[in-house]
Amino acid sequence: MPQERLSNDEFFTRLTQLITKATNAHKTSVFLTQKPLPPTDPSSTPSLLVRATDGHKDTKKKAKIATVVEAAELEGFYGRYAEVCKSGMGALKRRDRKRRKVKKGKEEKS
Amino acid sequence: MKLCKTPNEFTRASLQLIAARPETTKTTTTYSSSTPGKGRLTLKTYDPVSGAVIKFKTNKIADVGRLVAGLQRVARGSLGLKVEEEEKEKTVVEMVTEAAGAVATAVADTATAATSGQAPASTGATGGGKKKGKGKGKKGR
Repeated sequence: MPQERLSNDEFFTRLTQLITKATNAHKTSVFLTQKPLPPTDPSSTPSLLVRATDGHKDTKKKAKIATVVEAAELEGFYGRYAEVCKSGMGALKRRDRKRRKVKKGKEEKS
Repeated sequence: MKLCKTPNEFTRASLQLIAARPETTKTTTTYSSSTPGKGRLTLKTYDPVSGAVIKFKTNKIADVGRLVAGLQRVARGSLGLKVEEEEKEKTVVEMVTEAAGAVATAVADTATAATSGQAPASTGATGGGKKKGKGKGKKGR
């Protein structure tokens, strides 16, 4: 399946799907890459190429998405990127355990 | 390969590599899902030309926010944009010790003999409690 070049918004929609799918499946992975993209017009500044894939072995089923981020859009892009990752990556350890331990410790002391 | 222990360390090292080789360096993030609580997030900044690799692994969702902010700074570095100072990203511990240090120096400058004994007591978190007790005892005498 060839790579799909998407707009930033579409990229985030698809990325959210990939991450949620991976979290629910318990066994999948999501691979994200970012690198500078040399500009077609030599005078303009380079932009950022961001890619994501689910790494599926079967090339027909493999999901590959990409988007280009301009320098001016970086902050907005990464703000949304952070939200997508934080809400989607449910397989990672949460902060709640630390709070529970602290609460338990306080209860024990009192 | 440099394995980093904190998100800030990873960002700092990645920025150095990017400054050296902006055109060929790229950063990879791998989210490896497993049962909740056992997934892993791995970040790698690498340059295929020199073979330099900077790696960071975590399983905490709390690191994600800081790492993405780090990725943003790395992206700015790749595009040749000015990168902000790290001061905003200091950890809580560093901020507390810094604030305590600032308080201590401020108090010491204006302190008399009696209050200078209290100045070291007011700094630090855990050590402060014991010192305060001794200071109060001495003051009573």
